[in-house]
Amino acid sequence: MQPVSEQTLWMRVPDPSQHDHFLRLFMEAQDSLRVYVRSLLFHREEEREVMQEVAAVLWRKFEAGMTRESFARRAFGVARMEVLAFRRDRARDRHCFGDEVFEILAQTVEEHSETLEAERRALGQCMEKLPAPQRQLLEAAYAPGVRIDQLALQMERTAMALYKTLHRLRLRLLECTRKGLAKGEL
Amino acid sequence: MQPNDPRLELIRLHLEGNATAQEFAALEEHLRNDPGFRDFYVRAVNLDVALADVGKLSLRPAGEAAVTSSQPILGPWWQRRPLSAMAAGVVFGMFFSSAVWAYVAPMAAKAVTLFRDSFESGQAPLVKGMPIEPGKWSGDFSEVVGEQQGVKPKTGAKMLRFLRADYEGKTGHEGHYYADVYRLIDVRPHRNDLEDGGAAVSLSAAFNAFAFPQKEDFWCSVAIHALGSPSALDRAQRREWAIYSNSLAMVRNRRTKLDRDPATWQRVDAELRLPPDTEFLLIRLSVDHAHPSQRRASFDGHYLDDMRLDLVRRSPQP
Repeated sequence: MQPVSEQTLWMRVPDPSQHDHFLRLFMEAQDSLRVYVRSLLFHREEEREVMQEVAAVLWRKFEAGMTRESFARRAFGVARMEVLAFRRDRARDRHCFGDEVFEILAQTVEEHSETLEAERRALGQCMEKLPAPQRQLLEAAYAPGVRIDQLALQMERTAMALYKTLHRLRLRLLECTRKGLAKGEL
Repeated sequence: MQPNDPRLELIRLHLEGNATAQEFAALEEHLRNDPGFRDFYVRAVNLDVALADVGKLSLRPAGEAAVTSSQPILGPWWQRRPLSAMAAGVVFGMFFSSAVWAYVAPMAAKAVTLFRDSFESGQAPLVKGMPIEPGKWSGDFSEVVGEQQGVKPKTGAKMLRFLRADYEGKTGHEGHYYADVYRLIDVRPHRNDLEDGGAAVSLSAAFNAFAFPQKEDFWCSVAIHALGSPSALDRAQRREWAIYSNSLAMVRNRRTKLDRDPATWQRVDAELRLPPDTEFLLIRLSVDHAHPSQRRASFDGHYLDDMRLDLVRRSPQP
């Protein structure tokens, strides 16, 4: 059987309304949480791994009657602890932000959560504005498990050149979403 | 920030995992002291996260708008470990440049369509909740209709209209605000394709609604449950929520909010890597009231059309 942590989680639920409640709160918080976790880590793969743990811990600690605010508060706290644990256990040789930056990044993500969500929603339209080869390059570079050095090799480019190209494309998308939302076009 | 701001390079290096200790310290210093830089950094991270979701999309039909926020809600973090299994979701678009295609193509193979429907038979789903046998739609109250109030079927001349969030005999109607239809698919004929853990199913469906009040919003969602035996479904039918604990694996995508334009259909996709012992798939397609203040069992004009379920090959599990 495929290991599905969710199964174990669900089987602990005595009341079906609780899982709906948890899911709803988690879904509302998950994008902000992902941004927060990603902001503290070096790789997308690390973010996925940490988020898996965050979700499991949140479920174990879930209490009936939690509000959106109390859940989000706890979720950011758990995310912070899981990032620290991940860095401690899995990445002893890497750098880690200090407490102050952990705190202010959490505040920044929470304060801007609506704007960030709007930008994520607008991304599709901005992607459509890119020439097809650039859009496809982004999709390929961000596909799960893809390594930029290997992709560069396939494309007969240097990894650095590809990194720079992707960086320019990201800046272009950020500008597109910012302008589009400011004008109310997206 | 200006495009030529040298601090952009720090963000790039950090997000790519290539920052040196010195560069990391410089980044931290800017994050601590410059709110403007911090805001930009968070936006850049937000984009990185959103692009990762785009990268997970696969088999998107040509000519349809990208749904950028279609990450399965119980997808990668819950559904699959180890992370190397995530390599399953490699994108291959319809118009890849040759170099990119060369990278991706070895991981993809021809898809087999398990199921496709757009309600052209005119037969309405059973109103009995979860289906009791493969090959029939069942779920909450719904009807099959033609063009209505400016909403034209996505394909063909018919589409499904969700009517209510309950079904015949369902007790405790109060509090229900998800209108669901289900279909059970027997995948035992494909058992050999599932043995190496490299098979996945890709579900895609189109949703629409006629104009609704500004104060209301509606989500549309699709879910796939992999079931090991009919008994799993039996248990779920006795208590609907038990489908979660009786599934070998599941994925659900509830990230698309319906727009107010009856002329546009919004496509929602999900993909699930199948455990080798999967025998049945239960697909669930839903619309729900987004805000607590609007929740009710009735739906005024919400439609479903053009479902497709494909069996696709991904890299085998390590």
